Amino acid sequence: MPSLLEYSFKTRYFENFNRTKCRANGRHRLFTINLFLVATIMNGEKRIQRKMHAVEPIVNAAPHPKRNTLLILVNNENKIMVNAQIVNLAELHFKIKTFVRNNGDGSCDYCFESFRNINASDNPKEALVALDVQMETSYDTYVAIQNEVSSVFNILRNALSIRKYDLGFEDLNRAQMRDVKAKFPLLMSENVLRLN
Amino acid sequence: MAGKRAIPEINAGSMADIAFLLLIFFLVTTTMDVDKGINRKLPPYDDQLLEDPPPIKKKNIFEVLVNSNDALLVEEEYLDISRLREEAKRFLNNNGDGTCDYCDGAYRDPASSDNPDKAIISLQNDRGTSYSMYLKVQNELAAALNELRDELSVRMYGVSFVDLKDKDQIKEIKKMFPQKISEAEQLKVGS
Amino acid sequence: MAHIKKKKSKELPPVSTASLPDIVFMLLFFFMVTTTMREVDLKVELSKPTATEMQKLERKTLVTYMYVGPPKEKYAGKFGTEARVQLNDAFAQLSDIQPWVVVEREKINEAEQNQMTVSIKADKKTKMGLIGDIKLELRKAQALKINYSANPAGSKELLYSSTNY
Repeated sequence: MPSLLEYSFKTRYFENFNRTKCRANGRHRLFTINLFLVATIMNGEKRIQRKMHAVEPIVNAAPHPKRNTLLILVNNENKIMVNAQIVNLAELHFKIKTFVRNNGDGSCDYCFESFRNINASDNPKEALVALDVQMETSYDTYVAIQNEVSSVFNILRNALSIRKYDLGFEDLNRAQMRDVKAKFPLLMSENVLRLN
Repeated sequence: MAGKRAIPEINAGSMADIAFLLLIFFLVTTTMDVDKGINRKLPPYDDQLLEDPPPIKKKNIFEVLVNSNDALLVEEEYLDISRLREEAKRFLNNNGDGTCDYCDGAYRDPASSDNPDKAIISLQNDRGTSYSMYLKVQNELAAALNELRDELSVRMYGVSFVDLKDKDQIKEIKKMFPQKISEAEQLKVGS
Repeated sequence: MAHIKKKKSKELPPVSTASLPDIVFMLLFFFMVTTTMREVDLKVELSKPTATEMQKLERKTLVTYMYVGPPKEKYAGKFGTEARVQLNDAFAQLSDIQPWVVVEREKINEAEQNQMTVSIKADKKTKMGLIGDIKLELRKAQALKINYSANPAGSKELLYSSTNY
């Protein structure tokens, strides 16, 4: 019987996985993600399980959509993994930036340089950053990741506002700020992965 | 009284310096608790979300389960293998939301698929399922799809699907009835 | 005439500097009094994480604070050493968060209630399990605007090098 986490992970991804745009390396990615998380869960199980707070029924919140989603995983040892690679904060920043500013389907007329990587988002308006942490992940890692995400969006928004309005993002008025924010919306989906 | 001199005045200038120093010290130390942070907006809480809804609407999924006794559970009902083909055809042809103009969809069952394009057949086997049963199920599902494609191509091009030569026509028919069969990991399916 | 000439050609008499310290002391006392407005007695150890991309909390009246961290030494005996939530001067359970949000929201006037921000001041070593639960409770209470409180880092490079990720 696979561990509950593996199972919930697999079914979640399989439901999304078998849509029309099926990628060949999907299974491999799933496997490495599982290996990454299971490896950390194995460490956790050596300790006595503590129930810190009222146990809720196992809910993994809403599953993340597969398309246009950049999945960032953080394990109990505060290691960050994106696309089956362990990354540090600077690399994470770069990966988020390239993911968001991509112009995958060509519909983005305000995107700089024509990044057209099919593995990244179709359009910055649809780019979703998914962040999954585990129960024992430390808060400062989490804040550091949030900081990087904010940093990416601040940079992109600032660049756009200078190009469009010739003012820094902070100096825009409400309507302009709303416009720039709509072009680079900060969409995040977060989960704390639980085992029973 | 006469001999008393005036007390020398305290130099007010250095008092001001001391006071300024204290003031600046206080200004600096009390602004240590900077109230800054990263702003975020949480998604609204919806009771239903907790139930982990499938990302695809349930009605667009045709669930086929095969257990270790080779019994078929189709859309939560026991079914004989001989009926699998027609049930699958009925599911694909349903035209639940009326958007499919080539479907036979006299059925319009709201609990069945909206459109062949959205319809997904989900197949789940048990570890103990026999290979022959697995093949039979695959065969029936493939046959259902082929029959639908055949009927459509006769209607559209007058030729049966297997006899179609034009690549574009083949692609067209395939697009209208796409093969979307999702197979999950083999787990224990209740007997 | 000679006396008058000795006077430098100032139009105004020189300002007496004797009262300067008085003015400064007044300012000093003013700051001493106003900056100790903290009503909450912090019962948890709080060392905030560092970040660079932060915004100031505008409109302090619309902000409520929540403190999360391990209880201070003097409370450790009674409340343990695990990270806990402190709301308004007392330790609280997760189930207390929702009613607390409602109460705090009532203190704000109707028109601006939906702009209430909850500032989460959590110790950097807090586990995400607890933070996740807190966020869930806040969502249930419809307190959707949150702010993760942090200390400014010296610079980006400093931040990268100081963390061992």
